[in-house]
Amino acid sequence: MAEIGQAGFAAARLEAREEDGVLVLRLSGELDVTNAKQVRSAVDAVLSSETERLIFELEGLQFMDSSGIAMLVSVAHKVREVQVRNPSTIVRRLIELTGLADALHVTPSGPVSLPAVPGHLRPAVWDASCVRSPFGRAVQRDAQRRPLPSATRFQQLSADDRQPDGDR
Amino acid sequence: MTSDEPTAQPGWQTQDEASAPSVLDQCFDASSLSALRTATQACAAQARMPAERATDVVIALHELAANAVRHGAGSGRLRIWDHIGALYCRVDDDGPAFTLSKGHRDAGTDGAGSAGQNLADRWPREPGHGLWLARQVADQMTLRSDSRGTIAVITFAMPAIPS
Repeated sequence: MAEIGQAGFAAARLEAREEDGVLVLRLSGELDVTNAKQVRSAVDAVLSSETERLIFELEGLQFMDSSGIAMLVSVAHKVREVQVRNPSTIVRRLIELTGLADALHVTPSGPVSLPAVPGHLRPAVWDASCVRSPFGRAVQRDAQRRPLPSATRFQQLSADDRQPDGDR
Repeated sequence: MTSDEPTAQPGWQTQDEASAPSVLDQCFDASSLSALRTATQACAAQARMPAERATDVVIALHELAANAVRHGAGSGRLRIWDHIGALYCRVDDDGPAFTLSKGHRDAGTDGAGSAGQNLADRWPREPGHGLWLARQVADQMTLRSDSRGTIAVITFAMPAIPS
């Protein structure tokens, strides 16, 4: 077990165990840009060249950011099969946004998209023409976004708002 | 930036911003990103943002703040306004302009990084890039950067209130 993170920063905990010969890494706490490197080192420390399968148990991970996604992708490149089990809501959402649900074998599976809520700004209609994610996979994106009330729209920020200055 | 209040730039403040008091105004650095997320979550909940959408707000604002910490000045300021059907969020940092690498420039449709363009419109699609994520979940995002710092403005529309 490893505690990762300094006081005030995101704190994560990594526990490794074997389950039917498969390495299971239980990651809990928070994983963000401030402790991602340490988490990565801790994960690398329990991986060996023989590790072919790896399960990340993430139900206790209360927050993860793009650096956590980068870590998962990086590990998935090294280990033949990586599975993500029981991701928390925010982790599931990140995996959905980046189009990595299949690559990371997320379980339980099922719809990872947001549920349709009456009046919710996310329509349950998905755009068939997907946008490309930076991860090389297609990401479903809302067919339409609810327009903002025009009266409250931020003024278009123009170049004049910031005069160039060379005396910095 | 030489003024005492580097982020107070009248030219960047709209009438709406000026008239509505911010519901959150918090400075951050690497040691307080976690606290910033907690405050953001509370702010979205207070504004009666649905839980799923509040998750998106936290994801996006964390990525903008983390970007300021990692690639900008190392610290910054987040302000949120709850105003007529939307949450307006603004992240300022006094770091230098974003430097677009070759890959970044190639990702732009128009190439040149001339002033006045919205960087968010042509932000690179790069693995793990937090700004890409922020832009995915926001209803609107504007990113401005020059030698004096960076201002990101991101907007989340509120769901209609059932009558």
